[in-house]
This record gives sequence, C-alpha cells and structure tokens, in this order.
Amino acid sequence: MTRARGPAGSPRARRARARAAALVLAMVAALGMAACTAEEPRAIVVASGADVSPVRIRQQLIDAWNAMPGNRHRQARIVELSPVADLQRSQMAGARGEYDVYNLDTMWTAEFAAAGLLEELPEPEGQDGQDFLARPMEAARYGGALMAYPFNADTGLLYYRSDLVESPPRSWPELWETARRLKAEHPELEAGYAGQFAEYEGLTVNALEIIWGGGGDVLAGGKVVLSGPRNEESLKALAAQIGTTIPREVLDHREADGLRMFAERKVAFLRHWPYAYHVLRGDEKAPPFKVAALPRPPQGLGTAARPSATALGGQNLAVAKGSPRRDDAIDLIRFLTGQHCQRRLMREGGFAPTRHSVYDYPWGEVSGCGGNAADGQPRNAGALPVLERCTEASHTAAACQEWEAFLREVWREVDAARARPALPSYQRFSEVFRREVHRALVAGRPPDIARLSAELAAAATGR
Amino acid sequence: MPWPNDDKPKRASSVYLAILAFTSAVIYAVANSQLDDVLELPREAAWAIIGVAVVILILATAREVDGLRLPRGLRRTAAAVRRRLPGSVIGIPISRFALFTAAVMFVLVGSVATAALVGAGAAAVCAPPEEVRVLASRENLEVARAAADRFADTRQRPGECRKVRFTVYAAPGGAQTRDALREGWPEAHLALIGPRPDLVLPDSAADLRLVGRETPAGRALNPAGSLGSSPLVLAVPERAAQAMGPDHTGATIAELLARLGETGVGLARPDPVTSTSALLHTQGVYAGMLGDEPAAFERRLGRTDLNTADAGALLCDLRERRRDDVAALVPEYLMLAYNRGEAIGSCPRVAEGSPPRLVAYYPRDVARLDFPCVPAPPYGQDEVRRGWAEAFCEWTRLSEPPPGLRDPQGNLSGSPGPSGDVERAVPHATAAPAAGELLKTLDRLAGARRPARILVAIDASESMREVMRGGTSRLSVAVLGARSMMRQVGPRDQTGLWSFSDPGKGPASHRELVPIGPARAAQLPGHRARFERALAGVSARAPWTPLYDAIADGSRELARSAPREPGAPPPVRTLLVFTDGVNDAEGGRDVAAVLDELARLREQGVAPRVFLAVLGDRPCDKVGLTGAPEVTCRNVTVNTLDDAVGDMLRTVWGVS
Repeated sequence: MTRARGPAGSPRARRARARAAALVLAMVAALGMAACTAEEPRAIVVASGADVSPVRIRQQLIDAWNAMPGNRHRQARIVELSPVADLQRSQMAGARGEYDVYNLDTMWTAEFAAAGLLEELPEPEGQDGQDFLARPMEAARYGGALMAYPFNADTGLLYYRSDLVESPPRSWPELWETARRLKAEHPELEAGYAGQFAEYEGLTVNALEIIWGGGGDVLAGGKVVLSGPRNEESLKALAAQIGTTIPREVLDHREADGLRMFAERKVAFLRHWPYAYHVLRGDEKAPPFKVAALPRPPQGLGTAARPSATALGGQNLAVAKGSPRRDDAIDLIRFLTGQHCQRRLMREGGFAPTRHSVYDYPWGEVSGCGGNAADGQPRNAGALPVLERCTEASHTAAACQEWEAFLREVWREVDAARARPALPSYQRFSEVFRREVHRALVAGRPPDIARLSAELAAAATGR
Repeated sequence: MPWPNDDKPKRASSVYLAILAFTSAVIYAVANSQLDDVLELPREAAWAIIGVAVVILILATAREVDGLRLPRGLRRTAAAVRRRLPGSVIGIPISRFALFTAAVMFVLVGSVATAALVGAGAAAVCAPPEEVRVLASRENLEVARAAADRFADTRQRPGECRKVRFTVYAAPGGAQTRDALREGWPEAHLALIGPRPDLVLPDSAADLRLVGRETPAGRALNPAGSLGSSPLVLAVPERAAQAMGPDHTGATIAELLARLGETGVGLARPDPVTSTSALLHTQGVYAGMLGDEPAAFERRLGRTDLNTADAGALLCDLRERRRDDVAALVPEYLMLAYNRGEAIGSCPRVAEGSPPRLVAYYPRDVARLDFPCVPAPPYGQDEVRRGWAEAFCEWTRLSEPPPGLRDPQGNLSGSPGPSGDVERAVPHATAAPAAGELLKTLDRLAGARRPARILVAIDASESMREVMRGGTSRLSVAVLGARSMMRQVGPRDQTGLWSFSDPGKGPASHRELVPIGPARAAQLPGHRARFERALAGVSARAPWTPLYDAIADGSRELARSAPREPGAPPPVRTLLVFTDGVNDAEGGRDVAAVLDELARLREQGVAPRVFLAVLGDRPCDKVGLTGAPEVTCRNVTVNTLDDAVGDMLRTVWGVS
C-alpha cells in the first residue's frame, strides 16, 4: 500500500517541501555550528626541565615548530618542570596522560620504557639513521626497541693545565702519578686532581669512569661484575688519592666547586663536562689549559682498540604511552632532533649535538674563523659565546681553531662514550653505588667489594 | 587391558600436559616475581600452591601407571583425591610416555626457574616501583625522608621486588607553597617548587589552616596520621643556661625571653614567613605584646646578624660560626640534632657534639609542631599512589615516631642526648592557632619590620652570556634572582630595576627599566607586572660593563628621598647588583671613586646597603669593594639564588 500523494503544487506538497528545506537547513546549521564549536585538539605537551639556556632555546625551537605552515592544528607547548633532575624524573614518572613528549635524561630511558610509560618509535628513515651518533642512539633503545630520539649529548672530559703538563696522561695510574708529582712540585696547587665526588649522580659517573678506565666494569650482561683485580686496583688507587692528590673537601664537590678550583689555579687536572670549556675561556684569570679524553683502559686487555671510558650524558625525547597526539609527537621529535634544530641547539644554546652532520658543519667559516662563507642564517645574539666571539676581529684565528679542535674532541668522545647501565632500576642502583663509594672514600679506604656487589645485585634487579 | 577406547590415553595425555604446562607457566611467573604484583601473593605461598597441585596430579593418576605401586596409606589418599576430583581428570590413565614427558618438562622448567632465582640474573628484573612524591618542609626534610625510607623497608622482604619509591622534597615554605596547595598545584608550580605531591608532610596543622578550606583542593587536605610531635623551644647556650635558672617547663615565652635578656645573650629566630616553627614562636611572642613592642622585638633579633629562612639553616650558622652568645627559637628535634653533631641545614655531620651545647626551655604558651600526615588531593594522580599515601599515614599512626620526635603521650623517641639538654616529658602545649590569628601575626610582623627600598642593577654586558652550570647563562641567573626577590618582597617594600650599560649612551651608563616604586601599596600589582615585563626584555648585548658607575649612580639614586605611605617607617636603602664581577668601561669610575661616593653618602646618613651577587667564579675580593662597610658580596649560582636573595631581604628587614 502506497501513501496517496497530493499534486506537486498543492499546499500540502509546499508545506512538505518547506519542512524538508527547513530540516536540511537546520542540519547544515547544526553541522556548521558543530564544526565551529569543535574543540581545537589539545596542544602537544612537552615535559622538560626548566629551560635556563641563555636564549631559552628549547622554547625557541617549539616556537619555530608552531610557526611552520601546516602545524596550525598541532601546536606544541613546553611544561617546565623543576630544575632538579630527580624531581623532573619524579613528576614525569608519576604523570598519567598529562604529557605527550618527555625530555628524559639519558639514563632514565630504560626505567621509563620498562615501566611501560613510552611508545616505541619508528626508526629514522634512510640515511638519517646513520647521521645520529652511535652511542646516544644506543642509549635511546631499550631491549632493542627505539624508545626515544637523542636530543642533546654530554660527555666527561679531562681538563689539564697546559703550563704544567705537556701531554695528557693516557692511563689512570699515570694520571695519579703526574698529579701527585705536580702537587709536590707546585705548592700553590691545593689538589692534583678534582672531579665530582659529592654523594650525588656526579660521583656515580666519576667512579664509573675510573673503573672503566682501569679496564674493569660494574655490570655486564645484567650481572654485577665488580669483584675482580682490575676493579679492586682502580678503587684502591682512587681511595689512596684521598687526602693527598685529592683533598678531603673534594668529597663534597659538585660541578661548580671543581671548576672554581681549576679557574683559581689550585688544581692540575679536572674532570668536567664540555660546558666548562666556555666558562674557563671566558675567565681571564683562568690558567692556560687544554682538553683531552679521560684515560682509557690499558692496552693488552684483549681489545684491539682502547674503548672509551667516559660516561655519556644528555637528554632523549620520547613519546608518552597512550598519547592521543602520538603521530604528531613523533613528527615534533623528528623536527627537534633534525639537523636544523640541532645546529641551533648548539649554536644558540651551547648544547652538544647528537648528529655527525652538525659537528661536521663548517662552523669555522660560519663564525668567520678563517672564513668568508656565510651560513645563510641570521646571526643570533645569544650564540655560543666562544663561537660568537670568533666573529670579532679581536679574537685570533688561533683561538677559533682551538675551539674547533675542542669541538672535534667533544664529537669523538660523545660518539664513543659509554652509557650508564640501562636498568629499569638505575636510580636505585646509582644511589646504592654512590652511597657505598662515598662512605668508603670518606673513610679513606676502597669500598668493601663483596658487600657492595651483593647490594648492587639486588639494586640492579629492583630489589 | 584397561582401555576400551583408543582415544582416551591421547586425550588424557593432552589434558595432563596442559595442566603441567600451566603449572610450568606459574613456576616461571613465580621465579620472575610476576605473581607478587599481580596476585599480591607472597612467593612462598605461590610455591606451596604449586607443590600441592603437583602432588594432587600425581596422586590422581598414579593408579593407572604401570608398575607404580604406592604404599597403602598413599593409595587410600589417592583414592580419596580421585573421588573428589572432577570426572574429566580422575581415573584417566596415563601412558608412561606422557608421565616421562611431564617429568622432563617439570625438571627443565624448575631448573630454569631456580637458576633465575639463585643467580638473580637478568631475567629476574623487576618492574620499576610505584613513584610516590612527598612534599616535606625545609626543616623536616630529613625526618620525612627517614620515615619514608623506613616505611618502604617495612613493605619490602628480602629478595622481593621494590614496590614503592618515595621521592621526598622540600617546599620553599611561605605563601608560595600554600598557594600551590590551595590551587591544586597548577603547572607553574612544577618548576618553582617540584612535582605534584601525593603526600604532604607539613610541620604543623597551622600550615593546613593557612591553606584554608575555601577551595576543593584545600578541603581535600585532611590529616590521616602524624609523624609525631616536637615542642618549640628556646635553645640556650649551656653557659647561659645556668643563669636562666632551673625551671625549664613552667614559664611563658615572654618570661623566658625576659630571663634570657638578663643573661646578656642574644636571640635569633628564622624567618616566620618561610618557617612554620618560627611563625608559631612569633605568634606566642606577639600574643602578649602591644603597640611598638613587636618592632622592638624584631630589632632585638636583627642585632644578632643571623638571618635565615629556616631553623636548620639557623643552627647550621650557629655551628659554623661557633656562636655561644646567641639563643635560638627552634624546634626541639632540630636542637637535639644540633647537639648530637648530626648533619643539619647545609652543615655536614661533625664527629662530636658541636660545642656549645644548647639547652631547651619549653614555653608553655607556644604551640608544638604536630607533623600531620596528609594524603594530597587527587591532582589527577591515580588510585595506586593515593593508596600508598594512605598506607603511609596509617603506618605513622601505628609506629613509633622517628628519633627526636615525641609520641602522643609526649615521650621522646630515641636517645635524649646528654642529660639536661631536653626534658624527658614535657607538658602539653597550646593547640595550633587559628588561621586568622596566624595571618594577624604575619601582618604584625610585616608592620614590625623595616620596609626596604631596593634598586636591582643587572649587568647586561656580553660577558653575562657566559654559560654557567648546566647551560644556565649568568644573565639567566641574574633574571631568576631578580624574580626571586620580587616574589619575596612585601607590600611595603619598593623596588626598581636598572641594567648597565646602555649601549646608546656610552660606556659609563645605565638604563632605567623600572623606576623605584610603587608609591602606594595599591599600585603593587601594576608595578610587579611592569617589573616582570622589563626583566623579560633584558639581554646581554652591552659592549661595556660599568660596574663601578652603576654602584655609584645607584647609591646616589637611592639616597634621594622617595614618596611613601604616610606614617611608614623610613625604608632601608638597598642596592642589589647582579654582576660577574668585571668592571670594563672606558672613562668610567674606578674602585676609589665608588668608595669615595659611598663615604660621602655615609656622612650624610643616606648610604645604601650594597649587595653584590657575583655570578661565575670571580672571587669577591677581586671585585675590590669589600672594604666599604655597606658592601656585602657573595658568589651565587642558580642553586643558591633563592637563599642568597632571601638572606639579603631578611638582613634588610631586620636592620635596627
């Protein structure tokens, strides 16, 4: 049975058409309103430590991303966390769905990945993967999966008084002996050697480097391998320096303390990070100095090339598990770790890059060190201090060449540096390690290896 | 022949193998500690369950195994087991092959599991523990940390995975922390204070009263336990204690201070704005005072030249300076730590009790600290962490207080230290005051202190771009320092901002970014906004560094009279200079000229106090102005910035 229809021009038909038209209009209007009132997707939220670089370079890079055509609907913003590293870690580890991207210290990647807080990331495409430095890239993996992209790198270096030392020592025993001799010969020296020996992460790094440099190790294949003559010898030699080559007060030293000692010509050797170079070069009273790699393991230990014994630092960018902006976050990370941003990070923020091509960039020409070529980019007032000064006529070509040599040293060391143990429980592992080492050094003796091994074995597995 | 149907042995073997595979999986899971977390089963219980399951399986099938003859007792048990087991398993015979395979599998899996356990190898790595964030105070940080560690240890058995990790950190104290708690810890506080806490351990219920219950976050702060309590004491150097008399517990704070005054010993107290213990002390002191008496009391404190943010820092100062001419208003537990030579404030542990020893006098009209344990409002954190926070508070109700604190009966936990330092039992003090009374005390304090007229001068030369620790430029630290000062100044203080030099005006110049103001307290919000905008625009581009000119010109600017609120006391003129300590301005003043200028102003009675915050490693003696009595110099890093600026302000406010 079909319903009877009225003629097309009848009032009933007109009413029906009017009703239909009104309905269509209402639907269009509703759709339009829905489109207008649809919420903009939330910004890509990047959790990071406070940006205290001279020009707030991280914020500048995010601004550059936001200004790119096509990113109108995927704006990003930084949430700044505490400048204290452990508090950053704590806020990020406890966050649930608040952030899309984490800027993680390199040694936290394993913990975050094991806790299921990170998305696995796609491998860099094509040749791009080869451009990343090998060690930072390894430190961004967990269980073989890529969990982050390396953002900036850091590495331990040996600063030494070039007016007192002709060539840098190649082994720790040689370093201890030279430091002892220099301290005896130069009464103005308060210490032969200084590093970061207060009970904090710096001590973990310093002690690991001394152990690695002696040919030993703390953890291998997930097992604690601290017991062994090489480790015992290294730690015994370190303990023997306390009160002699290394004054007792150095056991309370963090980065700034040793740097001040070195700048005041009170110490012959200093273990420090790359940024110390800029501080010392900017201090007219600082002594003449050079930079070298930290001592590597002695030859004849079964390895043809002497492996690096310096600890890798720096930060990785990772995507928070379950982020609703996962794909955009990955694009953002690729942008931030791309060549252009890496160059700006180095040039304007003073951070060591994680790409070969950035170290290999013709910085000398860019800065005017010997050069004539322009980089095609606007000069930024907050450029890396030494680099910037290279543009001034008052600075010699020699100083610029020295800076370039320093840059090459950083490149070499970062590319070869060793990651700290990639453990889900690294935080506890490090706390136990440095607590016991510090206690022992305060007492002027090496740590009890058997007890430390047992405690570390428990800590390494999260117990 | 027991099998009428050929399918049965095959099916039986499959069922048997499936059960064994399941058992093997359980064994593996136990070995890897996975069941601990999933089922919350202790590992011993899981092993026991596996053992029983295996025995049941053997008994259930033993009858059918060719050649296997069980003892009579076991045969009866087996029969009983078979009767009770479901039909699909009971009585199903099994081939020797199946039994053999099962046995091999069991041994194999058992061996792997055992190896994993014994070797504590890589396979047995635990998942990271739950992260619980604990907000403590600057004073109780160590006590809170020790309590959290002790609690975590009670939840941990040897060989078990760590279930929880407490990250304990200290709040800067004062209005900033209270605002954060009241407003539900907005993002801005993540950088200024730290992570959103899951657990809050303030010094006193007074802290919660000041947070208030007007907001949902404030209303959700409900104590669920307490770490213990600690009376607030007047800690008197031993040599003066004899003159103070033997009554340690019966007097009011006013009586005690009067007795102390007769001994000739000075008095120190931390800043009540940042220290709750000092606020409660001050509440007690001001309670009996009228008119200008609070101002006189603050001047008395100012004479000791010990201006610290908290009691730990105060006691550390006493220890470092070996002062035995000053008594201190501090909590009892920190005084005990001081006497025991424990690490306190930034002072390391000393081998022996640090002389001079302090002796406690207990004012009966000052509230004690009661260390409430408060699970934080759910700032978006999950239920697991809230569960841990509640479990911790529950544990504090049942366990003994940390050493140095007292239990609900007032008994001291741990060793009391050398006899005579503290009383074993003290009478209950008054309850924590209401929020209104505390706010009134803070108002009276602000009125009792001298207002400050502060000019901040920032070195904006290129050398300030030098990178300090961790990528922080000197200029960034200077800007952070100026911000820190603006956060800490009160409504009666005036502030202004210069940078030096002004590239457009020549080597010996400065640029006035914000004139000193505001003239009236009502204009403060606008002034703050202007100050913040100006700070954001400071950049290190100036080619010259006229440090000495900036000091001389700034001092002269401060010497000029300024409009202020009617009836307000004269402000303390203060010049705060952020510099890397380098002076480099062609044709500018030298050290001698600055010293002459300061001497001239001193003669007129209008010389300012000059604080040099040196960023970088240039020693203060190289800056060359430390000869002038008005000048104080300190090397500052991003980590010491807040304290350095706070100490400066407290010094200024306390000027008598």
